[in-house]
Amino acid sequence: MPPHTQPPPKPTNKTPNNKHAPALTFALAGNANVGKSVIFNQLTGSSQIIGNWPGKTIDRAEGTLNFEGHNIKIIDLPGIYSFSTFSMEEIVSRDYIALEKPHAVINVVDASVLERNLFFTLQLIEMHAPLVLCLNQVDVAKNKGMLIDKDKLQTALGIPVILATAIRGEGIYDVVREAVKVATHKQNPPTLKYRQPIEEKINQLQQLITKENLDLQYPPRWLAIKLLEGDSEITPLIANKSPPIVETSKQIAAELEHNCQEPCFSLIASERYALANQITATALQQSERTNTLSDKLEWLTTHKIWGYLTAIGVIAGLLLWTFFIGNTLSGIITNVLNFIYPVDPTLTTELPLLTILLNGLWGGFSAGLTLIIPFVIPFYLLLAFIEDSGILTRVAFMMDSAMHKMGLHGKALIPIILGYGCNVPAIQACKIMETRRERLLAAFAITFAPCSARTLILFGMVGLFVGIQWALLLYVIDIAVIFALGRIAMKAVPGKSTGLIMELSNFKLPSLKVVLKQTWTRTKSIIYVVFPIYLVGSTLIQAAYALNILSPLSEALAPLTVWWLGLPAFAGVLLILGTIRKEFVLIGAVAILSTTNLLVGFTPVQLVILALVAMLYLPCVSTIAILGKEFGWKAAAIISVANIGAALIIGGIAFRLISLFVPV
Amino acid sequence: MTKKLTQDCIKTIYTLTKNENYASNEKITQKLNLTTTNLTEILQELTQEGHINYSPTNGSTLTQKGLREAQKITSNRYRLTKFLNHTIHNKNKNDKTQPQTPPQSSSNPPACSNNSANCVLSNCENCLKQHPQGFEEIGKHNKNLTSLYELKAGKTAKISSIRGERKILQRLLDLGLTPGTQIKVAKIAPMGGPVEILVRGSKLALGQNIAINIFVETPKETPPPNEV
Ligand SMILES: Nc1nc2c(ncn2[C@@H]2O[C@H](COP(=O)(O)OP(=O)(O)O)[C@@H](O)[C@H]2O)c(=O)[nH]1
Repeated sequence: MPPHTQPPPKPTNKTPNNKHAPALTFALAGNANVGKSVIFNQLTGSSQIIGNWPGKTIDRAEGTLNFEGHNIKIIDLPGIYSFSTFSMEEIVSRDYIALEKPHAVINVVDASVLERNLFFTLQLIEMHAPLVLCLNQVDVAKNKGMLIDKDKLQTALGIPVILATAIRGEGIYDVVREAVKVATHKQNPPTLKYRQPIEEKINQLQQLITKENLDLQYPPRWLAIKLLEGDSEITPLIANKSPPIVETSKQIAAELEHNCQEPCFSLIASERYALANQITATALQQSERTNTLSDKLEWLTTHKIWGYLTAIGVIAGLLLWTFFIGNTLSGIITNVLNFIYPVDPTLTTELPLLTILLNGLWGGFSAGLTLIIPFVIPFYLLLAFIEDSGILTRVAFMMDSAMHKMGLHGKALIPIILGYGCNVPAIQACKIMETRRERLLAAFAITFAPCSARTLILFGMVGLFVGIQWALLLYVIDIAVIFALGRIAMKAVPGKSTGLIMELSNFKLPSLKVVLKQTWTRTKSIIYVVFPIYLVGSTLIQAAYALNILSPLSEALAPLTVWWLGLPAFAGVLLILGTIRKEFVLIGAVAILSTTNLLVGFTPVQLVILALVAMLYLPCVSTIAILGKEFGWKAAAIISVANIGAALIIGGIAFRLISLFVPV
Repeated sequence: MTKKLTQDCIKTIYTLTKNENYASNEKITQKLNLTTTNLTEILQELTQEGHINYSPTNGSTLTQKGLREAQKITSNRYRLTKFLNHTIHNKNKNDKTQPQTPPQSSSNPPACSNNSANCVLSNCENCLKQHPQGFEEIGKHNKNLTSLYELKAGKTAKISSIRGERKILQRLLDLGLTPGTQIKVAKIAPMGGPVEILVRGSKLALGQNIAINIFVETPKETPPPNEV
């Protein structure tokens, strides 16, 4: 243990009787996309998703840190621009800071957009939060020709300021050290005054509130400001305790509005921005900037022709890269595995149980190793790269008008593209949409988005055994299906759509560290959590198949699978297994056929149809669960039924169309 | 009653109620060059059809149905304006029924002076899609304003007023679009897509239906450097 250079933390009055509770609690707060998750991950060693698009930290995350003898709990709050209570995230963050009173609030600020960030800092100061300002992304600011004078900023705001470049780990521990100082030496937080007419009214109201002693956790000055703004949460809260105060505040607000000819909420926002502007002007020096790589990329990706071509190129590139890298790796692994244990279904017939066990385990293992892992890793790698590059918000920008045709706006494209990785976090990311209707429509579209598991089915079944062009064609069909069904859903769910308001993130060369970490986090969950399921599942399938449990099921589904879709009878079982995890369609096929060469049991046409149906037919259980959690079980059921219907209709039609040209 | 006349009437009521709570009979007659008896007939018909609410003391306001109708009329016109921008603009100038705003410097695109009918034609196809009754306005909506959506890429302007639901106004304010703020249009996405603006050092994308309700003041066009 390092020698103590600072006095041990004072016992806090919050949790006096709980010895095991962390001694200090720090909250990370700030705008979206400033680098909070990067800092949080570095401090706590956890693996929150990092991405270069606003809105990814949805629920608050917690972690712990042991720093110079202090046990510190770190809370990563969702990224917000203001405390105006228009979104759940804002209310959560506001209540957390005001009511749970963390020992220090680390306000992470994007140095390259200082003024906009300070607008939020000023609100934290209004709340009397014990603050440390972490001026992050100093490297980006420098590239933009911005020099920030830390001391001037510190004096202007009255709170400690630390410069940081979180992505390189610079300054992070200084921030914590400063936060410990703030937490242990309680100081009176500063008050920043606004300009005359407004300051006077705030004061007047504040004194009234102090006098009445409302016994609320919030500081009186902040309550006064919120009353003037007509805050829809705070006003009824105070009306409960003292209606006269609300009456007076209404009068004062009306007076102000009359004098300034402007609604109060707008006046106060303007006031905060005026102050933020003034502080920025004193602390920031802007010099000429040169055209950077990021500017050129911006030009390219938002050009009216190149923009669309790059967007298509990125997605096609993602798929082709995944397939070719995956294919090569898969080939190598298959050779190695065959060398170790040539799959031989006729082995040891006198010990059926052992055969089933061995074949099942081995089948699951080799299917996972040859068909899943080689594809998943390059896919996640490039997806993390795309996510971190900042291109997502540009694509959203370019596709806004097209998304309006589905009753959504451009921002919905971000969760939909993330749905290519996994539907579950993508559906959670729908929170960045403004209304429930839009969230629902986006989530519906996502359930058709070919997640990595479905991409595996496409590549593992169609790409490897039929031809990559067929796999890509299915991808294109899938995108068309998303669009068509999205339009139908828009008509079915009444309501109006809102407009796009989105911050565009900066382009940058993705940090290798972040990309690798992200890929590892996602791959790890496949290896540790999903791989065992493959092994067990594969064994069970083999056992069930050997014991003939599955054939009644296959027969029951035969009209659909055999007659309507033209598949072999056992495909029905595969589709049912696939609801647990979509990969089971593939792994199940390997288990039942006892070989990784799927052409033993399917014709190429059947592989195409099976992959198409498997891609569309029903979200996996985890997706259904998250749909139920976010939108209720009724919506989840409707979406699932819509999925099955669409898959069967499209699959049947496709089968008949293909049969016209290719004899089965 | 001609269809054209009723349509014009709806449009006029729409234009008038943008600035005032009610469209008074006087103003409508003035604008449409009608006699009072004629007007009452039309208004009665419109009331029966459920297009307007008529009050003898105050004047008329549009109902939801009326608003939709107005939207249809103006959006058809809107397409026309795209081609005939100048002609229509001039025509509107000619049927002077209201105090005309001072002429703009000629190099400006036909700007939206708030009380000319041209404003309806050029701006309100989209803003009408939302419920205008829930609309609030911040900032000063004086004359000679242009909608942000009409600015070309590369232009700078100062925000004068924003219309919209409270929620959207608050969001825009939080992002730094307070009245008086200097902004620059960086890019306009193709096919009626959003506008990218630079504001207070950050880049924002605003959808068409948001941008169209943000009104800006453009700096006086400086005379182009001497060209021969
Ligand atoms: N250049 C640079 N990029 C950073 C820095 N800190 C964070 N980023 C990037 O900023 C983006 C947003 O970071 P993230 O932590 O996900 O933001 P959050 O929304 O605040 O949690 C990511 O692409 C990070 O790689 C920094 O100090 N310098």
